[in-house]
Amino acid sequence: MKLNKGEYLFKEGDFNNRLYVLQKGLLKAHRLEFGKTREVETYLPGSLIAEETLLEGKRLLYSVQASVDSELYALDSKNLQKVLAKEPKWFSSLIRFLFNRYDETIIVTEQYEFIRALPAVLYLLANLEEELVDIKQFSQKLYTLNGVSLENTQELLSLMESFGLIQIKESVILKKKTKLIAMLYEALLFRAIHKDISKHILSITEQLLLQLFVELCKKEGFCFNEYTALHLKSFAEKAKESSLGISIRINSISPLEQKQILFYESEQDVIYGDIDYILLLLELNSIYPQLDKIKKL
Amino acid sequence: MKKRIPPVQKCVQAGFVVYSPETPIKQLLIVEEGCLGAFQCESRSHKAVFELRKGDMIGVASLLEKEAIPWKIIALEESKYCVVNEESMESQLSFVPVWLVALIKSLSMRTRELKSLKKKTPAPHLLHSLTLYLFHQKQEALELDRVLKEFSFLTRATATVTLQALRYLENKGFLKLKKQSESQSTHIVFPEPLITAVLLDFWDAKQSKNQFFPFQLSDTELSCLESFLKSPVDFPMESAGYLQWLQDLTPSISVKEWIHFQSLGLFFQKEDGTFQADFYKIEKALLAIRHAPSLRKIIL
Repeated sequence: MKLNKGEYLFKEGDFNNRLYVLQKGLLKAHRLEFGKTREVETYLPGSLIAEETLLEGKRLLYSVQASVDSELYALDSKNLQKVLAKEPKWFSSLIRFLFNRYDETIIVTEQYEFIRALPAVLYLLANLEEELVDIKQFSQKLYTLNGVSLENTQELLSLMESFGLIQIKESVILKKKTKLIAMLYEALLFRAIHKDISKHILSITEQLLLQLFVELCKKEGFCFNEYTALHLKSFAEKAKESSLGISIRINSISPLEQKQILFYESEQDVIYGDIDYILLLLELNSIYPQLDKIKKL
Repeated sequence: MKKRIPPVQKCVQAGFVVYSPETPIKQLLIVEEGCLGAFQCESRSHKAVFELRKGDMIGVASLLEKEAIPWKIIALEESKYCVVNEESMESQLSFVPVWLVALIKSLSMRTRELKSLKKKTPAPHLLHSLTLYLFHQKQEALELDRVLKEFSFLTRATATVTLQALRYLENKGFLKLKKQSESQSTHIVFPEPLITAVLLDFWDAKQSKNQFFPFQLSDTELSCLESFLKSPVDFPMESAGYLQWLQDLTPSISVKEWIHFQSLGLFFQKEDGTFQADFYKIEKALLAIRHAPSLRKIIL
């Protein structure tokens, strides 16, 4: 087949199931990134084009255009099968294996890039001073920081929205919980650097105790040294009565005391804490485990 | 006449060591019957990694990409497998069309390239990325060790590469790598806190192929802005009032420069029609000019 200068062999998003071999001329592959065309490959005579689509066919992630008048020949999967039919079985298996391994590596790499982009999203969201952030500018910054693609940025922002951390309004990101975003980032960073769990990440028991504390504070909490407090006795009784059936003694709250989340004042036998901080921690602990399960759709 | 060298077929009993990484051989193993196990060996312990059954193969990377099989392969039961070595692969390739040989090489190379991406930073330009990161740190001194770790966490840039980039910025006079005393750890110090903002503006302008805005200012305009910072007006004024103020500071300033300042965003019009100075932007512009020789030498 012949292509005139400027003519497209195929365009980004087209379905293709052919392998092209460039016999004569020069072709260039490019794709759209942030509204700009980025050249990704140059094909010289002898080059293979779109070989990854030969076995099963797939949508192409790039466009290929002739830079000069060019000549190519195309092969489809029937050509491949015809050749392989004459070859030993192990050789056909090897070819199929190579295609599968390539496809699997693409999926694994895409997932990896997606997951690895998450800290950068959190970092920028936590540190941008504005409450309203233009999505286009944010995407550009994210690309600068970590080469995150527009597609991954949009998907990660939707994920942040599903966690209630931001709200996306047309072309703008409204930051709803900047402090929580910063804490999530810090928790991930702490784990990566120290190979340990951040003090903000709580055990199930600690979370249950704090949930109960919050629930009871709504009914019988009182102000104590600018904190919200409960009588330990009442807290212990309610904990036992509650569906949790926890027996609370003073040492039950000591892990939370060590983490400076809840405090005990022996003279007045009260436990107290910063209710806003506790609510933030509970929210952090409900989102944090979900971050490890995120997947590119 | 060309001769095809067939793969060697082997039949082994359970426990037979099919392959050991201690004696690496470039070969492809294809299981025909039975089961082979891949084990990671550390001193005396054997950790099972995966099993290979009928039709499974191992060693593609070893044969095509010169990457030795890292596992010990042991027969878990009586098994039959065939071994494709370099010789038989080469002889097989001589029987197939050239495009198919090219296809094998291409798929193999592309897979290897994709795998290597995991080890590289996806940031398109490390200095730009590092500047953006430093800009958001908003501190005058940062602990170097933490910066190296955090930046690596964010971008996968290695500590060595990040340190090189920091030293480059140090050589240009944008920051200092300092140890207060022998016992203290090294810190990144910014003698001029606005410098990361200036650098970021500079990279952004370079990337978008726009002229860096401070470099668009004439000597008269710069001297006017310097004088203005010494005798600033920090309240909104009418256009004529501002122009008069600037002319009092620098008599050669005309309406042309006043309009230029506005177009660069150094002075902006408020909703009520009055004008106000963007001191942050003016300070950045003057700082950029002080560092102009270094900035001009930087290649993005």
